[in-house]
Amino acid sequence: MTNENEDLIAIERIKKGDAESFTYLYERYRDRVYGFAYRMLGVQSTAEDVTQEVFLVIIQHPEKYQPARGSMLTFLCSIARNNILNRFRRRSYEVEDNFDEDESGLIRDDYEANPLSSLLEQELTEKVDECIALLPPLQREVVVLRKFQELSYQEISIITGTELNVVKARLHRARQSLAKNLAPYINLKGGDCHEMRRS
Amino acid sequence: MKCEEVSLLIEELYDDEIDFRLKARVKEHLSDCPSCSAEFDRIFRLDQLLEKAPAPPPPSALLDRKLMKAFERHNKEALKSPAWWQRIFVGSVSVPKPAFAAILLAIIATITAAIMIERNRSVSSEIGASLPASSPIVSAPLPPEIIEKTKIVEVPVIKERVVTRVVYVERQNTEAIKPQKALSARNGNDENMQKRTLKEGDTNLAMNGSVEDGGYVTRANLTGFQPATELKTRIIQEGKRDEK
Repeated sequence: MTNENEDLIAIERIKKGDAESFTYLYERYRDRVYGFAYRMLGVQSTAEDVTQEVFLVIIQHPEKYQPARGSMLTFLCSIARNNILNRFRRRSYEVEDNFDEDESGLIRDDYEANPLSSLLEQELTEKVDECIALLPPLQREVVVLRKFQELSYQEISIITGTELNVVKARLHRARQSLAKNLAPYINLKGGDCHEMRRS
Repeated sequence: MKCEEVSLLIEELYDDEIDFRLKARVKEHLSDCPSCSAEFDRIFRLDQLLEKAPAPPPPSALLDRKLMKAFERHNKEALKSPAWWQRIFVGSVSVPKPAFAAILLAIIATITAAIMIERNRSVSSEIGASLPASSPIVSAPLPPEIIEKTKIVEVPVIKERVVTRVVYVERQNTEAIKPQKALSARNGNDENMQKRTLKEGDTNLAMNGSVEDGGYVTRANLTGFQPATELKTRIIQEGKRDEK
């Protein structure tokens, strides 16, 4: 039985008040939804609030899940995304795609000289996290959904409610921005990536 | 393929989202083009770096408890028996079939009776309004079950004032008045009278008009008509007419 079918059966049982089915769905998707919210918002308690509200939709309106419109993960991420963007708007964040935004100032001069010699591994991870967090929200979400949720362009398109080309463009710009900000670290490592490309 | 075309497809190749028809061609281009190959390497290294991003801290157990409680609470509310007035709307009140049939018959009988009463009332009103004041008003016989249960008082509505007419009829042999007519025509005194002469067989008598009737002329003088000053009301009880 496919995951989609199992999810659909679980939803039908949740409609009848089956707690086990809810637990099954919750445990299956909790970390994905929470991870998406956390990487977008960067605050654990807020990410938990988003996760709670997403699963409250499943509790109160399980009929809203329509398998024809996408997978359960797509559905849950769509709800989470709306919630996240509303929070951004309430906090007066700039949600619109700001393609001209220049975040080159992120990289401090002392890092640029010889990054790995001056930073520990922990500092590198923090830097990567910071660069992701500083992306405009609409670029950040495609990076998070693609890289960390491992969703396809098509699934991201459904979640964000945008055309496939828009998803590609946002992902491209996000990568350009990240590559620019993380350039010292990218250039440092000699690549064995040719092996990967040729495979 | 040209570098401009490939640059748009490198990320799709890396994400394994590229059209399978283009995949081999882009790969072939990368193996020959150092700059495009370097771009591919850059995306790969960036991806490796992103994997160093710290994993989110695990959600607290409180979240699990909150949601489980929310699920239980929602189920309790959903399964709670609705109030009697709510059950009426959802149709969960059980009504015995004989009682339901009796209620249904009573509703139908009431509606039928109301329609019959209304119909009889309207017929009586029309008859009363159309008949002259002196004519007896005849109402349609009511069904016995209605007569037993209801008392009907019919009050005909007089819609028009009754006009009291005093008509003086003068009937003369046409042969006898011909010489008079000829004389009048010659003198030009009776042109108006000739214009008012009606066609044979016409029963309407216009004011001061005349009708030629098989050798006779009937003239009606309708001057001095007076409108009625009094109206009489008739109250009819169960088909018997009483004037009050």
